[in-house]
Amino acid sequence: MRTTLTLLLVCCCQTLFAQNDTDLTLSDLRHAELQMTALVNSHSLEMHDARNSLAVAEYDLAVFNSFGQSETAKTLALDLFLEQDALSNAIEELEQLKIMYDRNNLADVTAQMVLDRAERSLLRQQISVELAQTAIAKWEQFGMIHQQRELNDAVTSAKLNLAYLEAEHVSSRFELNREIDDIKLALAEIRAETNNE
Amino acid sequence: MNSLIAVTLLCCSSQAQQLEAAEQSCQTAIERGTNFLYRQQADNGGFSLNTDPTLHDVWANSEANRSWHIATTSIAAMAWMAQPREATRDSRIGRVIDYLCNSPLAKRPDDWDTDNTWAYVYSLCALTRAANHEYIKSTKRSAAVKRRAKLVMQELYKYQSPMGGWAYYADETKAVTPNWATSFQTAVAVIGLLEAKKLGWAVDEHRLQVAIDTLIHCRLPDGSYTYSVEIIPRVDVGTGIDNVKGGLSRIQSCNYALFLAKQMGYETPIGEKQIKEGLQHFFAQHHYLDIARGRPLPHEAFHYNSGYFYFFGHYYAGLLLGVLPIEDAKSFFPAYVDSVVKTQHDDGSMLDFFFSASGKVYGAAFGVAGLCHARDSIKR
Repeated sequence: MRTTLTLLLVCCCQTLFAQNDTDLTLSDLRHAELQMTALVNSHSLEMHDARNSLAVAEYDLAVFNSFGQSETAKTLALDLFLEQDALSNAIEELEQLKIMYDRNNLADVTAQMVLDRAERSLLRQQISVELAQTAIAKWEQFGMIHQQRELNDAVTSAKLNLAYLEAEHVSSRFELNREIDDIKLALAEIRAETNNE
Repeated sequence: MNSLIAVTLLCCSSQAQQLEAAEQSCQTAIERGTNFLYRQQADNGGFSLNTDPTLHDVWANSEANRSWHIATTSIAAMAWMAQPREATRDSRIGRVIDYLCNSPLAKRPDDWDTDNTWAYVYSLCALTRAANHEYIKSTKRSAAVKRRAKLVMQELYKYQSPMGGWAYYADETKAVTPNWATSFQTAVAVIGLLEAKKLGWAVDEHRLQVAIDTLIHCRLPDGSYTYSVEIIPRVDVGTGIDNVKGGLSRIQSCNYALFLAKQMGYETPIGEKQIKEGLQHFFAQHHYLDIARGRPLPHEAFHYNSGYFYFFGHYYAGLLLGVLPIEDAKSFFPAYVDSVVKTQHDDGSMLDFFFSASGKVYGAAFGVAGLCHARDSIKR
């Protein structure tokens, strides 16, 4: 009698343990499937961003090659022109000021002070002209090449990133699919064992 | 034919009536303005304008306020001296001239602020008028007047910019002698110096000639004058100040100075024709001054007009009427009187700008003086 009762208890416990294993495995399966959905969505977002980055980089490169390069050169030439103009104006105004002061002949310290300031301003303006001239040379020798390289790099980098993401997505989906398959297999085994018992 | 004669007579009669009404209005405004000025005169002969300037003035610097106070007192004196002699007025003129002769000379208020030049130019103008005034001559004040004028001229010379003229700020250089100069203050200085020369007083001829040349240099092809003395003057396009619409008052003061210079043998481009054109501009574009009058911020109106351009310009326009042929003067007279009289308050004062405690007094003084000269211009 005692033996029969013990066997019955063992049988009940086994049934309960088997049910628990099934529930846990089912829960793992549901979790893995949800992960797959999230992964698919995040992949599509990452791909969207990567394609967008590539489009922007290609657009910037196209703009630079079509007119950006030549307009920068024109802007720098205009800057030089403006600085040269300002220098000519400063020279002319200084000459006129001298004429005016000489004509008025009210010699005093203020006149000399204003003339000295104008001379100093003229020296500053000469430096501004020199800087505008070197800005053109620097652009032609370094700036233009550097910018071209940066834009090319941006396109290459965007393309590589896109390729990397595509491979990485395949790999991560493959891994998750394999995990799901393993869970399904484990579930099938649990169910088969339960039926045998 | 008869109807043509009737229409002509009607027009003449209407013009005569208009002139008569303007004269009446002018006379009343002069009396009311003069009475207002009488009430403002303090026991010391000056005007109690800056008893406590820090409490209600934007400019707390007491010497800047004293400079305007002396300038305003001088303009009030000129307003009284422009009127026929009368015992009460003579006595007040004596006291105001005593005040101008005996008060300490205005000092430079700040390194950047040379508003003391306003005290110099207007006290010089008032003193030259006083030297010609019969009451002043009869009361043996002439020597004191001349002495004071000499002192004022010496101070004035110290502030003549190497650009050739005068201005009231020195923030550009903060030097002892400022570099900035304006056409309109130079004009007032030139008028004072020319009047002094006319009296036979010793005037630095070189400085006077330079100042006259500077005014000519400021004159623009459209008949206006640049605000500042510029190295290369040019007419401002758009809403700038250096054109007729932004220079209506400068035109009058500079034209008057250059006309006076021409009368005294200097070579200047200003004759009756230019004066008439300047006055035509003044009345044709007068709305720019009307819009600016009373506005609280300097230069906030169109073409950078300021409220305080108003009476300054009207005063010199009044003087200019006197140098035109009488028929021309008559043609401007009603509009001139209307433009001044319409600004008069119930107490007889006039105000164009809420600048300092002196606003109502200098307004009334300029207004009354201008009306007096305008009235005289049609009574020759």
